[in-house]
Amino acid sequence: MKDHESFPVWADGVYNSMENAARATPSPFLLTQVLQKSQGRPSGTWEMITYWLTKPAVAFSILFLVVALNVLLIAGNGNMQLKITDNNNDFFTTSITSVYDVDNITP
Amino acid sequence: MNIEINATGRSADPSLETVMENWKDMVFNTALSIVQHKEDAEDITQDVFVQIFQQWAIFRKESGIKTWIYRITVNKCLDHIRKKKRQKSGGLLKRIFGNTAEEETIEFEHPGVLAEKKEQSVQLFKALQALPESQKIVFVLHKIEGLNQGEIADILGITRMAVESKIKRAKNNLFEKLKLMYERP
Repeated sequence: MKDHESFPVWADGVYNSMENAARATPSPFLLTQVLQKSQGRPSGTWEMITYWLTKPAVAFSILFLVVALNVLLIAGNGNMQLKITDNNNDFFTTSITSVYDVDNITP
Repeated sequence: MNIEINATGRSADPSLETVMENWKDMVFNTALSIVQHKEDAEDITQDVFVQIFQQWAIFRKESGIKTWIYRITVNKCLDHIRKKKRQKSGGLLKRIFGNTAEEETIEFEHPGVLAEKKEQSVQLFKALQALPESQKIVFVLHKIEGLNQGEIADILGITRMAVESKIKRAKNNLFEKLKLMYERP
């Protein structure tokens, strides 16, 4: 523990420690980096769309949606298939009955 | 965004280079004092100049170029801080396996500070980290960049009274933090 009486002096020193400080300077290649960065940015609509689509979060969300949609479609199709098969069975039974006249088998 | 570049790989508009030459230190110093990280400050400085170049043609000289550039810089710094916070709160795995405690205790040394005041400035920036963003920004603009209350009010789009109150609160909070640091070194 330090001497409490000297705290105001210490704190004032810390508080004013940035007085007369020189400005920090960035790297000497700033202009090149800025120009590179600005050239890499999308400008047109299609470039903007591509830029967003290539972002991992967007790409994965879209992929998930497509997969989910496919799963839903396949599940839906499965149910439809069952119904169609049932209908076909009924149709087959009806056809057989009508062709061979299975109810009236006595000669 | 299209900046024309000539065959030598330089900007075709010489005024843009002049703008950068005149204001790069101011932008970088402000960003560095706020985010306290050299690479992040360089990144912010680049983003600031990309925006300046993009909006150069439509810049209305109502507020003055200095105010305009400061405003862009402050906004970019705030965006950066928010992004970092989001990354921190979202990084569950990083929190489990990483050593965030170590990250938080990194000491920042401002490169422009006088040699005899280096240790004190480290304490100042440590205390500054704990301030709310708005107070931190007002403190940096006032105490490090040496702007007056009117200029800060123009940059932040608030009243002079609000700036004055933020400076007071920042000072009080800083002294509280410094007291804690003094008692528990």
